[in-house]
Amino acid sequence: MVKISSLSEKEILKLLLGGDEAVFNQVFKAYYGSMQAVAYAIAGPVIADEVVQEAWLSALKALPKFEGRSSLKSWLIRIVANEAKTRRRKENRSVSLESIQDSWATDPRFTENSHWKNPSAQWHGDTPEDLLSAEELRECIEKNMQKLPENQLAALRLRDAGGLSMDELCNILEVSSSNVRVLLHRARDKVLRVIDHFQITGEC
Amino acid sequence: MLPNCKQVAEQVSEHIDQPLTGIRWLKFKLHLIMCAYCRLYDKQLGIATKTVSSIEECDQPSEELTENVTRTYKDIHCKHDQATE
Repeated sequence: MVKISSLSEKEILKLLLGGDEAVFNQVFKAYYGSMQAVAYAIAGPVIADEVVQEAWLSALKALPKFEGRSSLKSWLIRIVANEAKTRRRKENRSVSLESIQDSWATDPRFTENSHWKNPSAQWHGDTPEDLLSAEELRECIEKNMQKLPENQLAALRLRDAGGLSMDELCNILEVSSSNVRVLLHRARDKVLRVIDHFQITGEC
Repeated sequence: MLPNCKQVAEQVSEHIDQPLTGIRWLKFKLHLIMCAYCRLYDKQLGIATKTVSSIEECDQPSEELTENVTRTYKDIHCKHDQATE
């Protein structure tokens, strides 16, 4: 079986248009995580998979006209984001804009003068692959991400999993760019603290 | 005046999305040169961010969704074929 990792985007497109089901399955699985993360962030968990399915329907219809001006992944992400926005309007759902719950002002890791008091430890590993070789850590990060305030989780998913631009995040989350920066920082900082705690204690 | 550690911690995340420029970048870099704790934070926030991407990218679809989307692919491919014949 041909592996898509060994093919160029042009070759993948040609095979997709030629009806190669095995290649299609690989593409679908390779981009599912990012597409689902975007659908989840915009339209919510209940209909995220439905949104992905609808997005693929639109994408496959439009595929013969895809000109390759962006990467296939960015094109699919834009389609799923649009589909999710449409569904969100229909379902009258909005990402909860609860104020940025901020314990940052009183974060005990810093002194009163805002310098480090309790910095993080040195980690045993410098890459996601190193860290995620501990399956418990993956589960722990996923569990703690679910506990993030909804707007922080949405920002994290759209940006770090979906790769959407900052402008697109402002647009979707309906907040200013400075608020998007705060949401992203707090969410990433939480993930960093979860990893740090796991590195020190070996527990979630 | 140089930013403090807490401000640098926020700028580390900002810099991932949109590189700092000009005098802000210079002050940020100078602080990092002088502060080992912020250098560590800079490195670890980058790792944490990439870890989130790699976790989400590894999510796999349910069998039901895979079947539905594959069926859609086959149907649409047949229609394209008929249209081009």
